[in-house]
Amino acid sequence: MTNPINIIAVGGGKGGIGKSVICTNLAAGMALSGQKVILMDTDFGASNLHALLGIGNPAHGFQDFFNSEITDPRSLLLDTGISNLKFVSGAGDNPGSANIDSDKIGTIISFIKKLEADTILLDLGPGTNYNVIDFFNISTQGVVMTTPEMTSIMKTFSFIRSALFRRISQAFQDFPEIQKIVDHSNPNDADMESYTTGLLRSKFADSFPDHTDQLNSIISNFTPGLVVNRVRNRKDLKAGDNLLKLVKKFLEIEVTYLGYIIESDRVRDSIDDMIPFLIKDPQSKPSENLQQIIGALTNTDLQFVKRDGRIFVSKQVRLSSGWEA
Amino acid sequence: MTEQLLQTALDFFKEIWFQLNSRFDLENTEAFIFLKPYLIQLQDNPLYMGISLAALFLVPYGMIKIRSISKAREQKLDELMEEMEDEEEYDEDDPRRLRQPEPELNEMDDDLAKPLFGNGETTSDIEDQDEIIITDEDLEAELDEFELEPSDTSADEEDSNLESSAEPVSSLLTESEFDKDLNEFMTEELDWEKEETSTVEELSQDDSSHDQAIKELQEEGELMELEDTLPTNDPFANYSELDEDEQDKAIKDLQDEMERTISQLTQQIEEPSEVPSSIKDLSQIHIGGDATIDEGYISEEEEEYFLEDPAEKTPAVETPEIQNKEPSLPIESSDTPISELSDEEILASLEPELKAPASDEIPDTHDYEPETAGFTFEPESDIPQNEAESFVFEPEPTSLEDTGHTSIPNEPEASYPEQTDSLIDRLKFLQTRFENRYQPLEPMSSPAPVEKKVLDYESLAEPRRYTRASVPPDSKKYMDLLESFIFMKDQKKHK
Repeated sequence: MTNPINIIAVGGGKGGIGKSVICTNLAAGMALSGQKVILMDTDFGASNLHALLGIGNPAHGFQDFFNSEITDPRSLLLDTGISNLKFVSGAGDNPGSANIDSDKIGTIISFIKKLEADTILLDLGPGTNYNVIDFFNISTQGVVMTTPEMTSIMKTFSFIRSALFRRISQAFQDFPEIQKIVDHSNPNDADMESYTTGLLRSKFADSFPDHTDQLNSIISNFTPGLVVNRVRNRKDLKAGDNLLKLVKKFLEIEVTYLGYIIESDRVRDSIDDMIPFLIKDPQSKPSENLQQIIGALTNTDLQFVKRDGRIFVSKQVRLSSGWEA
Repeated sequence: MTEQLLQTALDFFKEIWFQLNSRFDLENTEAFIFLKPYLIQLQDNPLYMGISLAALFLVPYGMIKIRSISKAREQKLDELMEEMEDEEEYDEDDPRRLRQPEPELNEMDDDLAKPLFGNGETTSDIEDQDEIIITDEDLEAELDEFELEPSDTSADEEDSNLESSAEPVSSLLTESEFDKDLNEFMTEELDWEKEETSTVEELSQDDSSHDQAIKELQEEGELMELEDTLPTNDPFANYSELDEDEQDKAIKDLQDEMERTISQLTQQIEEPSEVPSSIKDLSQIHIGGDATIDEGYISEEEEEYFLEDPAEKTPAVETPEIQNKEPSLPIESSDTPISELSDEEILASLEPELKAPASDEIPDTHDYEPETAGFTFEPESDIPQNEAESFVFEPEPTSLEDTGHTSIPNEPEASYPEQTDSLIDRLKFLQTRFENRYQPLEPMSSPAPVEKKVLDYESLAEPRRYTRASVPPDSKKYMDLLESFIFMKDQKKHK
């Protein structure tokens, strides 16, 4: 019996908040800690992960997902030069590539689920488009990212709400009346007054009392993790707290606070050098922050040390990860 | 590149702040909470930011500048004091100078010559350049400017040269000029008008800075004296706190004092013939010499240079006969290259004549005769050699005699202009005190500008409300703001 694949989707409503960079480093860290990891660029139309990994002219890309000649999905996996880390590129996107229909999204999702790995990391595009949200919702562990700016917090809140409502919508896709409440993609046919979880619950209680438990179950099972990027001070961390409060207040969900990454030039330099900063300088502050996030995601305590150009990883499994009495 | 550097610096500071803040929790300290709104305002307004940065750099710069200025002034004062002491030492009439050993002066000459000129040619070039013929008009203008009171030219000429020898830069020039003048005595017909002019020019050039600085010092001294004359329990220091009777008494005293000062001043003004003004003195020089000029100058000189050692000074100026003999120096050294002689040598040659006629000291003067080999100066003289040798220097007897006779008895009269100035200053001072009797003179209520500054700050802080200051993320206002951005106006049903 094989372990189920751990799919981690890294998303966030706003563009340019560091999703791709953090996703790449998470993948590198997990791969270095011994997991077989596949990093996938699902930002169709604006992919850039291959650039962060320094892979020029990738052999396969986004268009190959729909090429009938490719029968073996493993042929799409590109070598990254990092042990245990494979990469599926979204390169080859053309103008309009981001507007693929839901069928093709379904094709890609089925491709992802066929992949053999311990962890698959999905780098999502910005916004709350269903093409993005659907990738987020297939994840076993969703990670939402934000930066301390108010605009980013607003967008992340919208992203979480969209993901939750999309999840509810997909759970009740056979109930058109419920779809009107939870799917606001068609404003003319939708009940626009249920825009918070509380309002949704009361609507369900009034109109669909039989589905209330299922609704509550979906809501309670939706526990994305939060990473605050580009933190400069304690005030910035308060911004992350505010997002948690906001989500708690209006969506009634528990967002797990995974950690933060400080603002640092090392991160920017690593992008220029096309090397994940965790590998380039594992003992830097951003790398330490990232190790804490990986530890929170994998229930392990990781410590990376670089000596003489070689990286050494010490890994300790937390007792709470299934060994508690 | 610059942006990168700035960004790096910014990141560095951010990093430092973040580390400090995370370790010491600086944001929750009372000081930071107090300063936070101001810092935010500074951050928001580039004007304040600029002002604060400017203040940050300018205030220490100003402090340093003030300190450096005061140090420079102190140094200048010290230099002046040293010069004054040196001048005392080098005074030709000072017996101590005559007793000074010869090698020291030679050494000093060498030291003075070294840094400026490598050889004698350069010196002689400069000598030529410095030969300036000054007309009477120029002289008047210059004297007016510096308010000098020249006296006996031949006697004071050497003084001025000796005085300036204390300054390394000007010493050679003045010395060469000194030599040049002595050569002129030998070779040319004595033109007293020209001689006087050039001497006065030298005086004005060499001593102008000294005189000005000394004047400043004197003025300062007068001011200090004025301040010293203030009673220790000054009723005007806390005038507003006094009773009415005490206030009346204080005003009455002040008025009395003012009246006294005015009467003294009037008395001074009513005696104009006895109060020689500097301009008057100068005009008198060209007329042909007046006793008052020399008196004024000599008495002033005495005050300036011989205050500390009057006992040694007196024998030097005691008889006019001795001074009359001074110009006879060229006779002895007419066949000697005087331009090569040092001051001390020249003065040493005067020694037997200044002192009692002791024949055993005379041969000292003949030691200079063999030094003719190095002499390069060729005097443009029409005077035959034998005539030059037999020439006996006879300056205008009136000025010299008058100088000798009148300097001591008329000394108090010379201080009249100073007294007048002092009285005027005192009157002004008393008037100021009377006008500012409700305000203490020294502490001019320093809180006033500070208060103004605060008011300005408040008035400037007002418009900043339009810029919408950032809301702290840990405040309820922030959450309300966030909610207002997320939800629309009609979406207020959310709990």
